[in-house]
Amino acid sequence: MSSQTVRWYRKGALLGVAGMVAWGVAPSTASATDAPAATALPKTLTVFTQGDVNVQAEWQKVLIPQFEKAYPGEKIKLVFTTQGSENTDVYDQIAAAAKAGKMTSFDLVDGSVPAEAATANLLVKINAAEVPNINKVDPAEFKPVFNEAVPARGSQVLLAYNSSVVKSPPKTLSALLAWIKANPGKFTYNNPSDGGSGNGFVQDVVNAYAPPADTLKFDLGYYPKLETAWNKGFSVLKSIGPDIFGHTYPNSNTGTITLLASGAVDMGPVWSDMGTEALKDGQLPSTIKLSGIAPPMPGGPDYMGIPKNTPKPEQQLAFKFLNFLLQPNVQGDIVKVMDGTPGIEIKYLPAPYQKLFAGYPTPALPYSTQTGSDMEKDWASIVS
Amino acid sequence: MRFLRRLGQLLMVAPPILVIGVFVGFPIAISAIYTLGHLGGPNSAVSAIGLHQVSTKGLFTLKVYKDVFAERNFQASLVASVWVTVVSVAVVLVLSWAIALYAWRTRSRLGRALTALAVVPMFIPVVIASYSILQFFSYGGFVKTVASALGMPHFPTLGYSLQLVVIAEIWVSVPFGVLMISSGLGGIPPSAFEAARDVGASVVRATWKILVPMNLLPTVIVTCFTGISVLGSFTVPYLVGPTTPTLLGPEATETFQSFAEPQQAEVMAVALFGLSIIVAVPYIWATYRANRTSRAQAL
Repeated sequence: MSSQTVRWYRKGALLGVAGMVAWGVAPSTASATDAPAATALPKTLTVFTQGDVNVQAEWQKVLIPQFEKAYPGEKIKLVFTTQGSENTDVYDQIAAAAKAGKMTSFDLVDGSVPAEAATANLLVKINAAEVPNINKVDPAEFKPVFNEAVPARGSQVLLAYNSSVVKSPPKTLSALLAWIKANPGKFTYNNPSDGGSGNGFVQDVVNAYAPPADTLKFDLGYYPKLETAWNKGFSVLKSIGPDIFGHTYPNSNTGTITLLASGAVDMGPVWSDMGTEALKDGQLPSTIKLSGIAPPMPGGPDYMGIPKNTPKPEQQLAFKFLNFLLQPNVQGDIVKVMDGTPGIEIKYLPAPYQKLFAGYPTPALPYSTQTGSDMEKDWASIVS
Repeated sequence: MRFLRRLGQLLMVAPPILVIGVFVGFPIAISAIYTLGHLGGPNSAVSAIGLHQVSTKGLFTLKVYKDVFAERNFQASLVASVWVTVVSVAVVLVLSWAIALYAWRTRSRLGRALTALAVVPMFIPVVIASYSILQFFSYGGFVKTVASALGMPHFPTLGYSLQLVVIAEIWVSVPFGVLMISSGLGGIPPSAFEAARDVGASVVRATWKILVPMNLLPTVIVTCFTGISVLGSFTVPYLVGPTTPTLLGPEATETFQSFAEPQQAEVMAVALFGLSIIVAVPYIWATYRANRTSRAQAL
């Protein structure tokens, strides 16, 4: 679910700033009094995070107690909200503080803000000298954030299928497309504008027919002229239109899960964390299995990062925390709470956890925000 | 003295007019300029994030309007918005009149119960109602299950269709219609109706010639307000409607949020605004007429 929330949030943040500037109101800078004095040796790390209650559980049940136990005397002060709109405020604060050369009220930011802030170079660069454990992270995950944030946890789009009907699930995208044609009405994917799982499937199809050199450009930048390479993929998607369940597209990630649960469809793309959670709490019957296809559909990590101008001592403490965060045992505990994928590569996880991700391919990178917007628009006008 | 009184009256209406001017009028004006190709000044921030924008160095350009109106999806959504609105309003009017008239004519317990029941949807949040309606009509829902049990396994499902949008819009709008029409009827003395009946008018004729004209203003209000709310609705078409065509509300939102095209989205908003003004004309005419009549009566 993360990549899509990132994408949505990015727009929200930009529009938020846009709105404020349009009104001629300068975003207020953080008052320095909120943060601990820079001279004293820091004992408290102030963290902002936004998300669902599982993010709160990750912090309160895993990260805070384990960190405070590992480093006695050091404390984490958590500022948690479920309100997505708060992200815009925090982003505005980071942007304004970076511009004004001032510190923000947070030493570390978690959730969907860091990815956006890092692409605007508003965070502190992370290096292996300060955070040695970043060598356990897939280097590709640092590219979209210019080494300014660390992937803390993730999720990726996988193919969910009903194992009681589909005995041998498709292993490749072309096999999947052939299956869809051969089983009309038994596959669905949601409108790519409304949820990342359908979005990931569409990206996988259009990528498959685009020159491989261009797909990385789509991930890291915005090249509208190259987007004609999608046409082949879109015509394939249009050709399977009549084979989609009900000839219409559900309007959310949950829409696909609901249709899988009711038995209306036998296959569809879902986020790995949403699928795993739905299987755990019985929303999806145990006959539903998750598997990867080649080329893989994209994934979306949630990053953590340190706002620029955070005083050096607090930075040191934040680095220490990030290094702790990427420890394999901590990552294992995060995986357990979040039902998602780890920030580090799966091969570094403790052995019992590695089994959970058998069959998970290394996900593709999601498209950049602007490229993604164009893909959604083209899908709406060509395919839907 | 008279001047001072005028001034006092003016000062009394000044705050609301100022608030509307600053918080509604000003942004609308800026958006309108934006759709005409002016990306700078107050629009420089929003245009910094927009994709596929059109700008002009001259007075204005209509290129964005031409582009948007040439898009197949937009045309389909425009047509869908109009017909969904027309059908929903027509059905809401018929249902509201039927319920209100039955209660008014019979003055029975059943009539009162019907009126009360018709208002219930007003207290159910639109999101919940939309999901319930979707579940009821779509795959595995009540309608499909009953049809299956009766030996019709291929009974069509209405889930994610414009027909279901109409059904849900009616559900959402009927309470207001019933409240307005029945309170309007409540103010009409039964003797007016009975007198027409006594001289030999049929029920239909007496209703059409006596009740409808006497209850015209509430009827116009129901028509216009339902029309405008259906035209601008978002939740219902977003949740129960198809991906395309949809109504202009979800279409503009998607263009703004997902496609990152604020300029095109604002053109759609202008189109929606234009349609709403057309729908509002009868209301303005009717209130003007009613005000004039009441003033004439007062004099």
